[in-house]
Amino acid sequence: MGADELLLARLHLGAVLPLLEDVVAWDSAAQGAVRGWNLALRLQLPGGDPATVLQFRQGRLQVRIEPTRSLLPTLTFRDPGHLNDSFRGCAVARPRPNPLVIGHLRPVLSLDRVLGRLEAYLRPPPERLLEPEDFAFCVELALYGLAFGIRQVGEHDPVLAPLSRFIPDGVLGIEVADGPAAHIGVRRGSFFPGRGRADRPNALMVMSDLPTAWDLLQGRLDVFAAVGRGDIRLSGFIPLLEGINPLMDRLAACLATPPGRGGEEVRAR
Amino acid sequence: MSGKREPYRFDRSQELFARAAAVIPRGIYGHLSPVLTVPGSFPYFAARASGCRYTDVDGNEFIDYMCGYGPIVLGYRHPAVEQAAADQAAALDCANHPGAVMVELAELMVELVPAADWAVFVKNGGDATTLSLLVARAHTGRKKVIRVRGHYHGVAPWCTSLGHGGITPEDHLNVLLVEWNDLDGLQALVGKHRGEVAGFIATPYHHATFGDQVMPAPGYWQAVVELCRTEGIVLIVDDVRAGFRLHLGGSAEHFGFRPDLACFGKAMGNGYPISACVGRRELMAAASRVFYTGSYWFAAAPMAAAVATLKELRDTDAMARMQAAGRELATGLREMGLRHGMEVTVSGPETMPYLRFTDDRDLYLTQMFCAEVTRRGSFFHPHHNWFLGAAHSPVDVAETLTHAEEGFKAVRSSYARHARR
Repeated sequence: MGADELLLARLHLGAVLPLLEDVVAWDSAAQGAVRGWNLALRLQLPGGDPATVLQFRQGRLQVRIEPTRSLLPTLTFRDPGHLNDSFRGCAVARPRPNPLVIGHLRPVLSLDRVLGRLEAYLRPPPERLLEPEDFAFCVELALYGLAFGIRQVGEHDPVLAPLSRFIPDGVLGIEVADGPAAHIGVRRGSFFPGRGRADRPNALMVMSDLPTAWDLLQGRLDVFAAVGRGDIRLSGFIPLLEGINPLMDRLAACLATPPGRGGEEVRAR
Repeated sequence: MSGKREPYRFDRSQELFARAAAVIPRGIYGHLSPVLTVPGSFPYFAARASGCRYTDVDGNEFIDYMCGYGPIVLGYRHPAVEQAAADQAAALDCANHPGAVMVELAELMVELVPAADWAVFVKNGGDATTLSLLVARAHTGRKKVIRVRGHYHGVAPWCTSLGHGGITPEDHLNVLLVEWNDLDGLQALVGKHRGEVAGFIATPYHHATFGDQVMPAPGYWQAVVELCRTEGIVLIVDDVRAGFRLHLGGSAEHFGFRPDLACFGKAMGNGYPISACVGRRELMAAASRVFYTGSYWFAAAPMAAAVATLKELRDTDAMARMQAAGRELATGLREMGLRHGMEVTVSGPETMPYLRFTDDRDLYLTQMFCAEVTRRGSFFHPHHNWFLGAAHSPVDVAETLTHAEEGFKAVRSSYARHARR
């Protein structure tokens, strides 16, 4: 089992899957798919760490990242590679269900369709990015994914996690001017990501507009040049940002969008 | 000139940067990247310079408190230095052999720096620090080196943090880290790796970016010397940044100790590309076993510039003048801050101060202040220690304080929002 596969599995469960909560809240097709679902479903690796619980109730979804052993309908992936292949849509085998899944076969069997809605916003086709509201939502989603992903990399990457305790404590705000925002708190090498703007962040990274944010979040931006041009504004305690920056780079490398999977035309808009 | 001028604009800098970003990664890379200042409020490209002032490509003139990030110790285009470099360049610069001036420069370094019995000349500070490591290893036959967390020794892989592009964990296999002023930690680390440590490298005091500068604790260096002698560890002082601004014999003399190896750069050539690794007689044989060279390392004009610079520092009151200017600046800024109801902390030696607002560790106010002062004509860096030079006169400092007055006024409305006790 490669360390990179395990980290990627943690990213899928801990940074990508939580975004389904936002997709279900935003996307009518996803809402239609989960209507009537009332269950908590856990997706996990053997042993239960990492694990993520999807709590569907009255057409809404709450996602919890919790490596617990409580009794829940559970889908267990054979190993990280299996989980990653499943998220990439290329797994042959399905995850192994526990007996509690039997009472919820319809939603479990339909889960792929809901996850497909997540994929539609994470790797949007170019035409989706031409719709201002959808584009803003895609950026928002990617921003949250960045914050959640920083936590996974910062706490679990074999090379970078040991260095996290040297990142200064504080809260970094990552924002789009007049647009979506996320933040990430750091305390003694642990990370606390969140949606929205932070109250009194210690450092701020503000992107001037959605296209700049999208390019950044897709790993297609020379960030230093963008800062020099004024497309990104940094302020506050820069060492906090400097400490988190390698985690962002590592995250981008782990989740790199395969060529031709959407978004390349953004600059032309 | 009045401090109450319209804030500068940087349109031409921005235009050039846009062109640069299309063909140069980061547009401007390294320590001159705009990222490290407050983009939009600082110039990106310079046009000309003289004395303690320079003019950017938009025609804005600045009293310069970075001195080219340290090298300009006597002032830009200092006549004696320029003449020496021009004369040497007219005769010989890059050639098949070094010029005679290399011997003269080495003899001068040995004369001025008590820790130096020999000298090797290179181009950048990082060349010198990496050479010092090689010499320490060649001398001891050991692999490991201890360095202090946050101390900057250049951009070689051994001293660049993991997470920067191209750096691997293997690059740091033989590098151990200790905190500044932590003698117990250093002793413990040496004990844990007894017989493995070739060298201990540190700057003479803690001048990391983004925070207050911290002087060595009383007795720190003397205890480090003792420890290194007992354990057979080569003591290396990286004096690239501070060298010749605290003491003509190197900063170790200022702090009352003597290293085995010392690295100099920046101020020694007043802007000409030259650095040096110097050392005690006992390490000369080891230094001779190290193969280390570069196409331009023997260029004679920078050596002539270095000879002229060091002689000027030795034979005039240049050091006293820059110390006086730094004192005046720091005192003026502290008093002015208090008058505006804002306490500022000015840390470090007079010739290399760093300012921040005492109640704002996040540096929001420092960034605003430095941006405002820079846009009015005095280049204040918000994150890096500043540099004073012998060309800074009381008149220049007085003019800077008028710019600072405007800076404090500009910051006042944001003070309550960012001050945290």
